[in-house]
Amino acid sequence: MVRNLSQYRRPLIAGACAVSLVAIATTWGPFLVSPGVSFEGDEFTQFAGAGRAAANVMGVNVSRILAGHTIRVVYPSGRIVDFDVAVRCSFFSTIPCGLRNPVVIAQIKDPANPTYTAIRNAIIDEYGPDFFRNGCNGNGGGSYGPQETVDVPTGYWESTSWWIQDQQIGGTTARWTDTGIVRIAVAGYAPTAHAETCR
Amino acid sequence: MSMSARLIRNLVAAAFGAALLVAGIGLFEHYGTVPDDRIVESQPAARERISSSAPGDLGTKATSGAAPSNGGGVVNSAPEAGSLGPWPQSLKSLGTASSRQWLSVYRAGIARDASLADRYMALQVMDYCLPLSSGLEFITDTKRPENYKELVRIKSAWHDRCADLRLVSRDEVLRERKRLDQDLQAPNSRFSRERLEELGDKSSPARLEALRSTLASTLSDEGGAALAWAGPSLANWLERVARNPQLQGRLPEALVAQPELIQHAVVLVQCEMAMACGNDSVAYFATCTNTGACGDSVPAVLLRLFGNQRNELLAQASIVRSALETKDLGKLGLLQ
Repeated sequence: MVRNLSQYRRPLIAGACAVSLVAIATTWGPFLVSPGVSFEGDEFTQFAGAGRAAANVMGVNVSRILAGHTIRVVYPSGRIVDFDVAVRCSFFSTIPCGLRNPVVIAQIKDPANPTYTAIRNAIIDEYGPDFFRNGCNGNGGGSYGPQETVDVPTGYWESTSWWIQDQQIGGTTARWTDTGIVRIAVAGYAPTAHAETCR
Repeated sequence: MSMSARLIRNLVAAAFGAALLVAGIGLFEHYGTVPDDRIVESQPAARERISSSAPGDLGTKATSGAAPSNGGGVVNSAPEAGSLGPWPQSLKSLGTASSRQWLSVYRAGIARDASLADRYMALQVMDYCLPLSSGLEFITDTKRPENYKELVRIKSAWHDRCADLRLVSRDEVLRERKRLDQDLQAPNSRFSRERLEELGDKSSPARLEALRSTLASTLSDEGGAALAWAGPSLANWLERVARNPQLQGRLPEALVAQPELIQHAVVLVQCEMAMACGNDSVAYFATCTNTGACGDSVPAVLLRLFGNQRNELLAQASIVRSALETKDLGKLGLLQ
């Protein structure tokens, strides 16, 4: 039986279309989702990602973040990280902020729904409402960026665990120590983390 | 022929068509993006050649231009690279240079005898391309769907621009970046962050004077092109002086009236005198992907965002530009 190529035209085209769809899905697909800013990867990636998160929120006003400031990034994973700013942020730089010294200050356990509100609520559940404070707008010289923002103090929790053996009771007391370095606002929307600072 | 046999034949044909398409795309990706002189090599071979060759052996050795003692011009003599011009004008060409030119600048900068200027330029191109190999996704600007096409264009153009440099292993680039950054922070380096350190809220008068002196000498010696690396410090200086009642008399009223615009005015001048900021420049690529604000150029984005303060912004930029062009640094409060 003699068969020529035209008899296979439709399946050939179908195969080509299928591959094209797969190519579009895998190549362009990630571009359609929000930028993945995570604390994973090497040092360069961490810094570049956190700087970009700040630029995402503040836009051109990211250059208000100066050397010596601290920015705080809340990641979709629930991790909260402070970075020192070594070089003034620049919205037109491929690495928007010169960051260094990342310090993980908190980790919300497995946020089921990594939206801004969910993470914020998880932070309140875990660390109490004092973790968030007002004041950036009133005291810090304005709020930047179009997203919803909330202020977070820079500081740390001192905790002391206690346990009374006989009475089978125990617990943890904690006290917030404000380092008074800077007032921070964080904002974000799933699955992206954003950071903002004002002082 | 039975139905099942026909189905199998059609499936085989579909797979064959898919394979042909994949092969075609692969050939296009390979030969369509690598320079002609490397068509005969596979990409791994090219990577091996780039990684193992001695720095500067492709004729990319930097030559000194009319630069001060601690710097040097970047004139790539590699035939494929073309010239970016003498230092510091080369900085303005860098942002729109080709993929090959970026690779040549990289190679010139990592050479052991490279000038500080060459090293600075190399660090820039590393920073242009490293984010692409870091797995950082581009911003998804769902709030501005009109920018989607532009973001797609930028993503593609940026990847193309970094095609040659990305043949160098990321580990090597990161290693060299760390080394060059240390070199650039030497005490006598014009690029030293310590010399151009921004002023804090409580900076001492001595610190203020040190920055004034550094900025004055830098801008006097190298003109507006120095804004490429000193721009943020100049903006910081002007903002501080404009907000300090004891010092603001040094500045023109237009700068004092709206200190919050100064940083953006300096960017406008940077884009005129020191950097490429058009829609084919890496500065514009970064602006659009960092902030989601896109337009024809970095200045166009700024002027759109600050539309209601456009005149004030342009007036400030005009003052800064004029002061730099005429070297009348007193207008910037930089004279004692």
